[in-house]
Amino acid sequence: MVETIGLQVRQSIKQISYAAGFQLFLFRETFNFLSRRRIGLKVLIMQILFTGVEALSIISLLSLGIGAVIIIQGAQLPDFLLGDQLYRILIIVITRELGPLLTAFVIIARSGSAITTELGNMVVSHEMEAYLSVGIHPVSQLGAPRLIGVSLSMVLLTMYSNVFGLLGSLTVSSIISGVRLTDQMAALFSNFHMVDIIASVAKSFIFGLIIAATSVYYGFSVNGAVTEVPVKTIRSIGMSIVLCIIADGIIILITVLLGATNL
Amino acid sequence: MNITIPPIVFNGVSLYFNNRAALDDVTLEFQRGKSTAVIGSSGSGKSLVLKCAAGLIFPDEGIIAYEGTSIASMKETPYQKMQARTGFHFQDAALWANKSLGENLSLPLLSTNPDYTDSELKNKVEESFASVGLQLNPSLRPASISMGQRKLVSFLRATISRPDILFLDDPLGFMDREGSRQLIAKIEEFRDDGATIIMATHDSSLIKTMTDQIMVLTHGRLSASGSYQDVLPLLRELV
Repeated sequence: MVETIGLQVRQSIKQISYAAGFQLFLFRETFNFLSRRRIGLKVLIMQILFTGVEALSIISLLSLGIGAVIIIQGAQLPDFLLGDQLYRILIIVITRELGPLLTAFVIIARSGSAITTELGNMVVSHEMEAYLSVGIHPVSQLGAPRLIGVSLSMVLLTMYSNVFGLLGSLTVSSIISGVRLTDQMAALFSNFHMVDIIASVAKSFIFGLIIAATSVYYGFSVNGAVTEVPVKTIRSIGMSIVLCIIADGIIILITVLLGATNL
Repeated sequence: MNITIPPIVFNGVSLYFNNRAALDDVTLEFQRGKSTAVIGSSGSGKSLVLKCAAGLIFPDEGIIAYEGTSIASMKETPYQKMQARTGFHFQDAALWANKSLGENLSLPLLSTNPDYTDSELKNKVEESFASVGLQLNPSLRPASISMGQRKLVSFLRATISRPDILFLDDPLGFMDREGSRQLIAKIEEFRDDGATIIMATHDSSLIKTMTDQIMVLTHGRLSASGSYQDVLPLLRELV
């Protein structure tokens, strides 16, 4: 019993140490990537295209819908559509919370799973060994551009999602309350604080790093069997969601401590 | 490069998968400028010997030295330099599926010299295809060509940087007669240029005509080594 627990603890420490070492190496290679970008530039462009551009339609639809739903549900509450507090609530809920989190979930489902599957299959088909054999480390060739591409796409998509979320809300609000959309937009902009944008950008960037680093790690952790690929992909998705929510909590805690959450 | 020491030396090398020894206390030397065939039945560890020797897999026990330096203890730059001087031809081609054939050949060149221009790379790729009689559009993806053609492209990828040491894992597998002829001619060219060639193969004609030294693996252990004549009795069972 004690021996089994001891072995499990040892195994866990080994796994955590390996994961930490891998992440350090991935981040170091990401910095180095900028100096030898010619080799991996195409991978970076493809990643931004897949993660950012191809996700625009789903993000638009989702954000418009969520923004509209917030207003429709909120309209059931007494006096919800009255006063400037409406705009502050919308800005905080959409730009600081739902925008980054929903975008992160879409990216995890689309790009995170795709990255783990693709890298896992490359391990199985010995393509990683082929990179090593020509003097290119696969983490710098495949991991670094994905880390940059996903993080960059995540920030841009979150900003895009915020715009569509707020637009959806204001359109529905305009229909319900009869106030002109342009007036609502002017009121919304006057309630925007710089901290809202900073918090949104910071969150989305950190979520992007988490999603990319987790997906790349699980992709590279496939040992050689095709059956491992879906297992690692599921773990990668679950771990990315958990880590994003933990990071979200920590960022909220920091903003509360800094006094940057007041309505 | 010190020409008096063997380029690759295994000393007590063991490798385990699921607590089973895939390589068991293997000690051997590959001679500079010689062709060595690693032979044995399927699952005997031939490919693993090649991958360990090329620094693609690290052993659980023992030391593998490249030019007198342990590969496992190499820093990044010497390791990359070693890889730039070696070429590996994979049993299953292992071409990068999401890159074109041209990119598959350009990347090894760019890893050794990032200053190559696009036109220089294009010329090198075309010359390379022509050298083995391949008439393929370089913009094709590996999935759109046959396995035999992929093996030829994989060989070209391994050799386009003119390595000193060439690892060939089952080089003639999946190849038709014409492809095999082209490939053997290219291997001979490398041997005549003084390259060290290390191959895992079942092909008896290749073993007979192309190798100076033969190493026989049985269940992950080195059971015999010597010239073609020395191991001839064993060859009849294995090849």
